[in-house]
Amino acid sequence: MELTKQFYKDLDSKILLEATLPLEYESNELLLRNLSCILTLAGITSFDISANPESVKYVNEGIKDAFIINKDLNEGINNNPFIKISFGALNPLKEQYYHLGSDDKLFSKSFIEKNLSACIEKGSQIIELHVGNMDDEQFLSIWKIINELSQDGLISINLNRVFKSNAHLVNLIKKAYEINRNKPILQIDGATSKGKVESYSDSLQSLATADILIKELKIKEKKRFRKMYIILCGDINTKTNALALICNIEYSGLSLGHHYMNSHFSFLNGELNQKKLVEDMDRVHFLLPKVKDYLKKFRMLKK
Amino acid sequence: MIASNISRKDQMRELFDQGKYFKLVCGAGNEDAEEVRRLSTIYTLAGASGLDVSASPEIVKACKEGINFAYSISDELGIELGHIPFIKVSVGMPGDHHVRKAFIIDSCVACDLCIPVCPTNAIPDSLVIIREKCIGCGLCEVACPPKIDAIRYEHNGKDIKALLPQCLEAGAENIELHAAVIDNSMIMEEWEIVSQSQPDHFISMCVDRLNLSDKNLITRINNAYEIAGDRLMIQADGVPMGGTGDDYNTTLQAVAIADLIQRKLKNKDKKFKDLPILLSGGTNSKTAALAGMSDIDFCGIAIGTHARSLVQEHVDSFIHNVDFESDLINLKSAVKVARSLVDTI
Repeated sequence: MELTKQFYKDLDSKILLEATLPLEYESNELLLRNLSCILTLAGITSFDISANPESVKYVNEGIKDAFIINKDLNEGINNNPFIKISFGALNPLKEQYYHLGSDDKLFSKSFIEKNLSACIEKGSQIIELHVGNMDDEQFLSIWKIINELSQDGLISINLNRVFKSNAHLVNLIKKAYEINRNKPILQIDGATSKGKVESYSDSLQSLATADILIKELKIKEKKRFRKMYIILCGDINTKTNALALICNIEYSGLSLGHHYMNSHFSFLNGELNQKKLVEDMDRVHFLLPKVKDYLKKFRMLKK
Repeated sequence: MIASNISRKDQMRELFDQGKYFKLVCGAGNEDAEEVRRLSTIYTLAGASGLDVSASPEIVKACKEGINFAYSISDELGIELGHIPFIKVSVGMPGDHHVRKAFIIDSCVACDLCIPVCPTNAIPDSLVIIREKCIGCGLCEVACPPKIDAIRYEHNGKDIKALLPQCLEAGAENIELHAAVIDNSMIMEEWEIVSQSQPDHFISMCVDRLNLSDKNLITRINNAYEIAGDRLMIQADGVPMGGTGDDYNTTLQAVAIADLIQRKLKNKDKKFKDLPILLSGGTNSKTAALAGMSDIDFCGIAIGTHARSLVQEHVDSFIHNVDFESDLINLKSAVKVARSLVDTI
């Protein structure tokens, strides 16, 4: 219960800053451990990884490393970052499934239960279901399973408008939150840009989808959705907050996506595969200021 | 008036290329001829490039009269006018917001909450909605308490095959199909009729995301291109008839849908490189600025609710004042307000 409170507190304070760990790091102990360690030290409050128990374990170890280092550096980190596992349908932007495995496995109840339970056991606290191109029946049946699996009820929906109209999305979310009675958490995906140049247009799709859901749910369906949290993802960049402010879109957190992490944290390439950071303080001293400087740009969520 | 040797289609293309096409939307459902006539006069004098009206020969004629009156008095008002505005008629399928009419059923408890929210003053104290004025925006439905649920709609059905030639005969030059309903095959049948009705000019398809996913929307535009070719223009409708505020939030959806079309078609497929995208649906004085900062390559902006509300006071005073044509002080004042909006693009 404390965990749930902490997560909602982060969302209420609008300080949730999540990093999506690159898919190519999947199951690589040293890379995942070191990346989650340095990002934890720099102030990331949540990690988003695919539903792979091994990966969850390595990220959890990286977080523990960060707290060991923190004793010497006194970086002021207090709460463990949350580990969210992403799971679900076809990612329309990448044309691949988030979750490893065949279609049959993906949608088999026993496989989902076994795999997600293993992730929870290894340290993940939040489960996110990606709607993608799933049909409603399929989505809601999986949503029911993860609702039962998650003891704290911390489950979220990742959505976008690629395969769903405004009306369809609104209807589906209403159905999902009849099953889960917690405060709704929606992670809203946008477009995928290419290249390093950050532009306002990168966040347009994510913000515009958030705008629709705020108007159709938070404002019109106050009874159930008054306390609805929105996390923006999908080409979030340092201009997102400015655009959200002028467009009057209120959100609770930002999730930095795969592409962003790959292109903007490239200075970490070659630095994380040497040895464990917890045993390499010189490297920590070298990398940490750079990572912190970058993350500072996202620390302006409030008006 | 600018004398020109180029065709009307090429004139339109020039405006598109400059990103300066401003269209006043009188409302696909607005069948109040006098109001349309007066709006047409005001916005023609303000420099609008296009006027969008209901697919009715009488309304087209009223619009044309309004334009002609504007040209007849422009010298007296010291206004130099350019090309004659293009008159576009809008048609839509059953289920499309633009071509529906609201009515109030017996469960109404006369709370009157719907009266002040109606942007066209179509709901009088008697609570019998004035059909000619209703544009189907649905704001009355939003205002109606859910427990009462007294607003219903009827489709303002029209046989477009018979009607479009009459509208063109009356002076319309362009046709727009509101294609936001789910059924693709029905839409394409109507689109074929639109295409055949106006074979030598731009034809416009208006799309939004209420009932269409991004994938469906892109497929629909691809299908539309197969029929219309380079005559296709897209009206990217953010929130249909959603221009109730003059801020960035109100216009966000219009810019976002244009961004989607740009990313998926204009930037990816050579044949769509020059596809004209007209922003609409929640558009206002902030639209061009938001589109500009978001790097949207748009051909112009269509503004309805906000544009009409800016001059509504003047239009209403004209309506009460029978001597519209000689009240040039009031007209000049209305034109000044309208111009401040037209000049934002």
